[in-house]
Amino acid sequence: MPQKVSLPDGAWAALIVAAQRDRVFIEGNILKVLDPEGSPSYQGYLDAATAADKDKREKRLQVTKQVQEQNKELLEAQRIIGLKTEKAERALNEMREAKQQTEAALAEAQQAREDAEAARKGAEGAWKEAKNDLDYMQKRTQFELMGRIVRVSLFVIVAVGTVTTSMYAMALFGPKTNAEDVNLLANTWSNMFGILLTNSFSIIGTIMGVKYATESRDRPNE
Amino acid sequence: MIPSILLVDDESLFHLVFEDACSLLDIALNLEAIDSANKAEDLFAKWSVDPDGRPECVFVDLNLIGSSFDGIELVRRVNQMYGNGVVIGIISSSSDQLEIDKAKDVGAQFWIVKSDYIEPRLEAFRAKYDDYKARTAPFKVYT
Repeated sequence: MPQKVSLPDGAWAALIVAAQRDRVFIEGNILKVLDPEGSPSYQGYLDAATAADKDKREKRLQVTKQVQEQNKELLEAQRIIGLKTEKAERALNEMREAKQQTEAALAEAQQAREDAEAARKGAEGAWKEAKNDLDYMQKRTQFELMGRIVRVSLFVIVAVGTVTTSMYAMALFGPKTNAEDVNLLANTWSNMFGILLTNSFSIIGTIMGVKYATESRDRPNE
Repeated sequence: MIPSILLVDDESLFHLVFEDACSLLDIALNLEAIDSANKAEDLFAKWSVDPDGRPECVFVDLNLIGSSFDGIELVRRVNQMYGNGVVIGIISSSSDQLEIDKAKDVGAQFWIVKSDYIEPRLEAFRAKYDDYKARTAPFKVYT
């Protein structure tokens, strides 16, 4: 048991007056150690003060418990908000990363598109070059063929002309001349020469026609 | 009535609850409440030299946020480093058997489970207090 504390009678009287006049009591653990020294009025004061103190403490205890409960709920809510915030931040970071990845993929796709475009242009250039080469080869072959035809034709014309002319000359100026043969050869030479000249111009005309037709056909493609 | 009690708990609202409950139940005459195991250790280091002001009974919370060690470690230190001269136990909202066993191993004499209505547990503890003081009461969990 704790050691009791005694108060002088004057102090007791003042406490009792304050209690009766203003309903003011001392409170706390001091009430547990005050000794009423057998006085009913002191004991009455102590009982009243203890009851008031208990009443106040009970009220405070209930309020404190309520506050404690609310505090627990607030702390729990704070914890949940913290978790949600953390989750939201994580989601935001993931979204940012996804956005960066999408942007990188987009840049790669753009680069690939540009590469493909460049490749298409390159292929187009190569195709045009190949086409030009082919045209050049075709024209070259045509020109070579035409040259050959012209050469052969000229050779044939010159050869036939030379042979016919030689025969006609031999008939005119040879030792055994016959008027009928000369006449025949003259007609033949004349006819032959006419035919050769006609054919020569025909060949030239055909060649020019072929060349013109080829150029006309090529023009729309360019 | 217990002459002096030390409460070590990081929750300051529980200090008020504990103080009022002890006062209403006439459990303690003098009650001191602190919020950290480190402060408690400093006090016990001081009291191991000069026992003046040393409490008779110590209630320690299990999880002490802001302290460098928990309540069980504080009980161990009080018992093993500063002399086993006080009635000491845990007061916690946890009733984890593993923790309870650990507390018992380091010399805690009781485990009181905190709840909204703690008064009956404190009354039951007070009824056995003399046995705890005499070190004749077995370890008990007040639920």
